[in-house]
Amino acid sequence: MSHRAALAVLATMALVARPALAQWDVGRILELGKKAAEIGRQAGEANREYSAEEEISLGEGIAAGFLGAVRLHPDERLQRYVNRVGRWLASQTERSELPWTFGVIDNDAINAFAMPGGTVLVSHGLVRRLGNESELAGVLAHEIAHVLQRHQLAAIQSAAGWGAAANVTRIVAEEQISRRGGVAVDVKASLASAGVDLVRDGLFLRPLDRRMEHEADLLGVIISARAGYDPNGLVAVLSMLAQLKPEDAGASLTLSTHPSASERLAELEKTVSAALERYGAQPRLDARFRGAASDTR
Amino acid sequence: MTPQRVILGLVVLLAAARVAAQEATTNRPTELRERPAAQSSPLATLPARTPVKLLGREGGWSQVDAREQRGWLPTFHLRFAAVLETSSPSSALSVTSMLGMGSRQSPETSKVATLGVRGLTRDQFQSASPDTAALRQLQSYRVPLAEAEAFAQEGGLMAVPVPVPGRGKS
Repeated sequence: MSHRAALAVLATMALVARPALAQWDVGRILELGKKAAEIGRQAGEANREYSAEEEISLGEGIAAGFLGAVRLHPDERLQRYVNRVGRWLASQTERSELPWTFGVIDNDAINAFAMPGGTVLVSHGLVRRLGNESELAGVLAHEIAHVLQRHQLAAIQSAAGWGAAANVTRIVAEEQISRRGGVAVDVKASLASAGVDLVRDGLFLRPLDRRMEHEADLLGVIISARAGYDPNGLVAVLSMLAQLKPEDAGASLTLSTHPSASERLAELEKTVSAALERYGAQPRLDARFRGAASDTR
Repeated sequence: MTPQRVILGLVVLLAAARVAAQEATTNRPTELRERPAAQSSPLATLPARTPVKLLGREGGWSQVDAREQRGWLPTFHLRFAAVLETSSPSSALSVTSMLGMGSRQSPETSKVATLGVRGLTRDQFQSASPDTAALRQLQSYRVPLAEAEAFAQEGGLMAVPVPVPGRGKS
């Protein structure tokens, strides 16, 4: 069995057979795979920063692959509304110039996804369980923070032993070599296609490091507050997640790829309670949210 | 057992799960307040580990019934009973565990084991072929910054400089 196949089996076992530990085992397995695959040769090239253009191309491939699996929600008014909220939030960050793109997917699970380069998708199942615009802002700001901090890229780089991720790393390395030699290669197309492979290989089933989730929560609070919302919207969403009932099985993917909502609440209290209190009287916009999301409930 | 009885049994079980799902306890001594605001008058002081029934949420506040009184507490002062768990890995995808029956409910277990019971599944991703038409559709929903700014203004949202704790601007 090849290293890759062995890793795939191990990863599947970790995710399916030992569910309670799944979130943390995969990282360790990927770490082992990284050593086994002996990819150190290109490490110098691989670990350099992606250009914004590369990040965007990769993200488009990931988004196209993702949308091959899940449809967009048909309510265009809702799509436009989510883009207005998201674009406003993103404008309060140091990466305002990215081609920020927000979308609602037609799925009743409770989830949200960030892709490199500024694409953020939320499930309709999540939107319909939210109470007001500040809660939506909290969710979008958390995902925006993943993009700002390039968390997904870091995860791809650190998982270089995983086939699809190694491919992305190789393309980026080759691009830098070809740029020096002046040979034009279609990096955008290669990266987009590598992005599709990442989705097939389970990019969205892999957890990010829990420190990344906590950082995205903290920055999510700050971004919401900067945009003029009550930043406690994220606290409210986390308390909703903490109360999910067994019949809300659609939550499973979210919860299996994140630290528990209770743990995230405790961390927020520790790190940003001052900002939460200070900006807690900013608007929550219940009526505007109901107007935009009500038809689709 | 008649079909009606089976259905009634299911309803009772589901109702029980629902009630259990709303339970939380205070994680420290805290004031139960009339409204969701720190300045609001206290109705009672609740000791740590007071069981409460959760009724609603408003920003960082949770509305609860506690000791036969209704009021508001800071959400951070609550410990939520985790209700999502599956009884065993092998039953992770079974209907039984989906409905929360046959699975113990313990506040100590907070991880859910299943991957996409009725959401996104591994297979769905594995067999996906890229949909560039849908990507273009998605990108057509982008809004220019000026439109987002006007939208913010309509809602009374004002940009404020907020530093990231422990850093400068993020």
